[in-house]
Amino acid sequence: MRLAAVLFVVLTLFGASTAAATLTTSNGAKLFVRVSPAPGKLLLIWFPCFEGAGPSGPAILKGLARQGVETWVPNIADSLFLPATPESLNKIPDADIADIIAHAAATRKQVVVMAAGHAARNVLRGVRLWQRRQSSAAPQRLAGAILLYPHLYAGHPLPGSASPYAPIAHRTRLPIVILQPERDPGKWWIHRLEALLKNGGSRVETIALPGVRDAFYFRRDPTAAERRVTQRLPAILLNAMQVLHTLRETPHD
Amino acid sequence: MIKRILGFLMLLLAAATAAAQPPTPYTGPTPPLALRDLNGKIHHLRDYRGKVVMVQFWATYCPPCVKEMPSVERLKSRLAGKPFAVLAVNLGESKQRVRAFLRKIHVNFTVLLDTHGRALRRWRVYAVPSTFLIDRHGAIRYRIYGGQAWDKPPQTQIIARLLAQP
Repeated sequence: MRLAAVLFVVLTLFGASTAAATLTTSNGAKLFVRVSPAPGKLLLIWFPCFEGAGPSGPAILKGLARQGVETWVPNIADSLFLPATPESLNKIPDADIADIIAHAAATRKQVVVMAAGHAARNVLRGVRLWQRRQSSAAPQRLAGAILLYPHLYAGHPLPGSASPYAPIAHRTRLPIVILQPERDPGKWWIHRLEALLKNGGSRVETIALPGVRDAFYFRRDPTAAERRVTQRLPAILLNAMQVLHTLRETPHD
Repeated sequence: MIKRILGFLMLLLAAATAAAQPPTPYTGPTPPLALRDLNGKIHHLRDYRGKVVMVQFWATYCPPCVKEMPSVERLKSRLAGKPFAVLAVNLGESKQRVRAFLRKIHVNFTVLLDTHGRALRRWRVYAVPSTFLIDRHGAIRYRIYGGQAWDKPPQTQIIARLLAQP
């Protein structure tokens, strides 16, 4: 790990549930991270898509902290002065993501990374870089990844054509839980993605989220079902982390 | 705050750009299509030979699909009497949900149910709305991703060209 410096600046009052932190990466970038501390052994790094964690974010973090899960929410786009657009994801260096994982691993907690939609691609690339930096003797601190409705295609898929996946989807070796909304065309292709990830050496389990659309937890027009699933999201994520633990213990086929 | 407003404006711009994407020519194979409508009647694409057909994959949960539906209806009305048909393929939702939706949004075209996503896989549809324009010989000529204003150029011009071809 080559973190030049790590500086945590607690901006909230003593006893508050989250704190703003800044960490300096190996290339000198300062990254803002919202930390929701908890005493348990699990640390979830939630890499939000360009839209952020949304208005439900604080309640989700609080729910996770109540269950002993510490959560970090990096705001890489703001840190790098990038606009909140999907295109900004392409400008986030893999090294920054790898650095955040390295810092989380240094806490000696079991680290789980989470990303939604297009951000899944960035996070898996960061994970791979972090894995390549690790010595084989290093303790395995990364328990796996939770991917919400992952978009792992190489580009924007055109209807009528075979849609290749990004190279990282073939190269990832990690326990992965996919949280797949039922009201999303991605559900019809999820078995293909599962097979591809498994073929690359990952262990994969998909958990269906009935009655919800993609991005359900930050939509402006949530349905009753989406509000219910968002409220249950901390429990769903905790269950996903337990599934990751099981996948990690499962021998390869 | 200014940065967030700028970001929001860029998002709006990106959305507007996506909606304005013109139809893309297509020269690949045309998969078969055989699906039931809401009354249980099976519709085969091959039975529509001689007509220009818009095959549109949609879902009630997809805002751009809902937004473009009135323009499809206006297009269909404008082309009344011409050899033009619309087959709107719903992606895997229940008959009850689709019926409830169509009670709120009236359409004058055929709605089909792809209950198990088989047509979606054969037609390689990854997102909604996805639309294909089929010529009078039954071959896909254009494919389109994203919501469109179907009663305005260039969409109307493309459909007019397809209708003009023998």
